[in-house]
Amino acid sequence: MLSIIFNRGSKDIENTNYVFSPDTWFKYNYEEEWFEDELVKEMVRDVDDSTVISAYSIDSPVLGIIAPERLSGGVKALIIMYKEPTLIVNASACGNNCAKWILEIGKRQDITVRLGYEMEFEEPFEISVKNSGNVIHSYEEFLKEFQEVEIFEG
Amino acid sequence: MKGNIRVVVSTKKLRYELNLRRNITVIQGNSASGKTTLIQIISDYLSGRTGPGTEVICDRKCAVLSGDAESAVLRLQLLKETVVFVDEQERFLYSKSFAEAVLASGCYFVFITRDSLNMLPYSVHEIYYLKNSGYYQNTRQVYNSMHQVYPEINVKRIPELSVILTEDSNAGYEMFEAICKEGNTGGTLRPSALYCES
Repeated sequence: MLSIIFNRGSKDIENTNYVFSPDTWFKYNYEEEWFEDELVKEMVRDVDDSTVISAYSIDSPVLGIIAPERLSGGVKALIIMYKEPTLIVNASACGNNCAKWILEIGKRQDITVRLGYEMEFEEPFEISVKNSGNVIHSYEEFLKEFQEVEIFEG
Repeated sequence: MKGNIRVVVSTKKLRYELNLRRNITVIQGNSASGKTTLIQIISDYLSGRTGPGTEVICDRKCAVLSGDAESAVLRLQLLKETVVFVDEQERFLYSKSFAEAVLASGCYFVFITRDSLNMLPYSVHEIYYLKNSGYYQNTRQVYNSMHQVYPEINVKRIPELSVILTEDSNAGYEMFEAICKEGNTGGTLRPSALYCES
């Protein structure tokens, strides 16, 4: 299941497994075999509009042939969530176009992400909110939980 | 610094045009829309690494802040009349010490972040996303421009208000009381009752 830690403002996640900058973490830790995975290829195609040629080359319509280090911060965050599920990834590195993939990864395995903005998750979904312990199923509940974090913890 | 500032960032493949209207501009939006690439191009250009073919055109000095909070704050304190860019990957962007330095600075700022910067005052109208609008004129450059996340709405007619309720008797109440007494609002803001919650 997907679990979310809502986190606002200057407060930080105090957990050694927290990845604040997925971009930087990816640069030093990604593994070549990750790019053989069909879900990774699909996420790269959908979010970055790019094609995985190999673990060393990605075909981007804007940038040309690029190394995996030059993928978007959002798709790097998704790959880390999927391939390193014990890490708590900063999902604010992901735009709304990553929301469906975060839900998809959460369906396949247990992951916990940190989120600092109102990402537009499309219903139906099941998300566990770590701050309150509630499990939510609608975007209205999502916004309510998010606002309560701002009011009481922000 | 005051007024509009235009920044054009151009490479062989990419072109960005930014129009900064206030001291703080926030850029957010979908992944892969070119936000981080924009900052990287400016940083590479300012470092003198890009060579011919890459330009950052602005009638003010530009700077990219990165690294640890202490260095970023110290550098910011030295910058004058500068457009300062900061990417979301910089942890200091969310720190109190950096917010204080921004408030004390006369520079313009462009922050790339989806999270709200609660310690800084900025307008919702200055939150933008980047949109790829195809190729620029007859070139091979992909053209990216800024668009408001919360577009300004032109209100042609303010609905007549019957009651205004303010949170307390301070600023909000006093402002509306003064406006109502002036009576020069064209009849649109003359409520029959003005209350404060307290």
